Amino acid sequence: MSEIIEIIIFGTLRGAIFALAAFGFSLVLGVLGIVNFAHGVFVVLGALITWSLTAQIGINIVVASLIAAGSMGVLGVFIQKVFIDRVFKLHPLMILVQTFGVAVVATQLAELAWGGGERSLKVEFPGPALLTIGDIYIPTWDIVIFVISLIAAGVLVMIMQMTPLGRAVRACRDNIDSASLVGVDVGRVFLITMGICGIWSGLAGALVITLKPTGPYMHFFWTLDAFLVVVIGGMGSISGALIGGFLYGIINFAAYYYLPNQAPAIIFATLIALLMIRPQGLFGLGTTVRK
Amino acid sequence: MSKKTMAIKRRTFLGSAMGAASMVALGAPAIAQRKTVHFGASLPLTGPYEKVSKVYKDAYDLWTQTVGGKVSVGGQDADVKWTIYDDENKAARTAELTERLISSDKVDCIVGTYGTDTVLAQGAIARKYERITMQAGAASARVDEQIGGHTTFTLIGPSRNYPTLAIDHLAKQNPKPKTMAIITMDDPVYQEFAAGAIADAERHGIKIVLNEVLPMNTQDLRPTVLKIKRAGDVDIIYNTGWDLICIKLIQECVALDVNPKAIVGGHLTTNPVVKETLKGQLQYIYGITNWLPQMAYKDKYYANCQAFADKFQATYNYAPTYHAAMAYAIPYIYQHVIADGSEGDPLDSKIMRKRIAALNNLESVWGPIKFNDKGRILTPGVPVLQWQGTDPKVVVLAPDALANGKDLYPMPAFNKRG
Repeated sequence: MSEIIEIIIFGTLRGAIFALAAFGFSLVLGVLGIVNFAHGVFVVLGALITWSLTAQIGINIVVASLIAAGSMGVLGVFIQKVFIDRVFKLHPLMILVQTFGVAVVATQLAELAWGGGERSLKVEFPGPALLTIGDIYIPTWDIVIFVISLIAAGVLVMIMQMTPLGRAVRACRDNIDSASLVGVDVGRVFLITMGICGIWSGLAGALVITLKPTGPYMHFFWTLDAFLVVVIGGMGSISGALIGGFLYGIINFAAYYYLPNQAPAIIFATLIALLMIRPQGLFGLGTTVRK
Repeated sequence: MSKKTMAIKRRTFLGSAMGAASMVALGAPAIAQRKTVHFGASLPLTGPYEKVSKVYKDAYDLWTQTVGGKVSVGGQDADVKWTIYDDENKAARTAELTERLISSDKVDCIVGTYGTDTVLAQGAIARKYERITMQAGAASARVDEQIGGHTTFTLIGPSRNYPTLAIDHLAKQNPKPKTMAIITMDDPVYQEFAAGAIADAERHGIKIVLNEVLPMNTQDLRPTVLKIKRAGDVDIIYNTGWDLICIKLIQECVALDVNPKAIVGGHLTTNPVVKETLKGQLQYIYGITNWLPQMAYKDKYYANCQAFADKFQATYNYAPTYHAAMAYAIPYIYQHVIADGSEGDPLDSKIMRKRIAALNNLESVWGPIKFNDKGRILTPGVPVLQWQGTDPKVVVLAPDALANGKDLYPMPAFNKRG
């Protein structure tokens, strides 16, 4: 029994970081209706910028994380304005190709800047390194990250629910044409959505690099993880992405625990089954009918 | 002796002398015309093996600098030229590039790539052209079986033998370890490595409580370490994976407070990234390594391995791993075998193959060079080291001839180190 509890606890803790990385992906998919193949770039660049600011320049990690997240927000706006916006009205395949191209170029540039290897950041957390629940040891830093992820989700939900900006984003998510007719500046909303995506994903990267070594080549794994979280949770929903992240974390952890060598197949088989049962995801707000 | 016999003998002698003179006359221009010796290689310069490929490339470059950009071919000086392509660690790409190196670039000496599948792909093309390769990056027995000896010579020992000295050494510790968990990457070469570790452990009565086979793209070792923790008393954790797996393994052991008597980090704990990342957590961790600067090997340019390491460090601004010494030794061996032109064109593949196979403990900074009939270097085993001190430094523990310190065993718990 305690084995399952441990898997659920550690899976949930890992899931928080998956969720944080997936919030932006879910928003962009829900609002812009595009699958952003460059999404993982925000995560790995956020991680590597945090590493440079902290390990090379000596900036406090909290400040470094905020700078990294902000930088990724700017990058998101830049990608939207310079690349996606220009092909947005073309065939969706063009956007896929373009974001894939952006990911490849950004990864190559990152490899020039940081090399192809992995970087890691060790955080000296004041206080006990481990907390115990019964006979289960839980790293305190994992709990800190879990709490940060919850706060980040809460902030995003508040922005979406309680601000004019959030209302505009939700209006675009529900129906772009109607939102445009009532005076919502759709182009601006798209820019902001990509900016938010960059900030939250960059923050995820800043936290990820304190947990495990991160290198530029890992961007695709993060895009894939975010995609899978959204498939579980449903697109466009922050709470869906949060729950989806937790569930994905548990499925992922359990698969690697019980059958590591078959884990990718198990994870995808679970997702295929979920898509068959509930194609819109657990908390999906968007239609499942092809637009 | 009759006049007739003498005449025949004279004729025979003169004929033989003329024949020999003709051979020299015909052979000499072929050697004399060599203005350049062209070395060709492909390496996975981009992708997950980028770091190690850079070490290889720098080591080839260091050899070129060391010889002043010139080598002797049958007694004639020739300029050294290199062509190195990026094979992206893809077998098909490697085959294509090897074809290009042989057919278009007309390289004289083919230097091996890194990784079993790419080495096999390279060997298949080299074999088609009846050329030889000298490679440093494939420890799998598949290389020996498919291309060893006739097409490929390999400077690294077989992966099956990697863990032997380490497990022999740990089995002698007090208290003797009784159980072991192994982390195996799902790749033939790592599985051979793990199979060796299992066999060696069982030979010493050490029970294998877990052999966790992980996909090559494993990103998270927490499930694995949790499984080790739940496996009960594990005295040794043996990582057969690479440096990144070692880092993640130790980080997760710290995170989950998993404290075996010994952790063997694998064959790449001396890669700088491991210490840079783990810092003091690397203390007490065992490793194995094919080469260290402390070793007493030498060649005609470097009086010892430390001199080689210092030169490498000064030139490229990072400490050389074993890959550097091994890669440097490849052109060094070619240099040695092509220097002698007494049997014809020393760049002829058949002559090169014969001479390389006949090497008998050629001195090099990589150690004595001698190959078995499968073209695999003969080595006594992979030395064992341990990281010791709060600013961890390497201490060699085995074999005795190389040892410069004693074990710190068993490892104290991570959370009790202050």
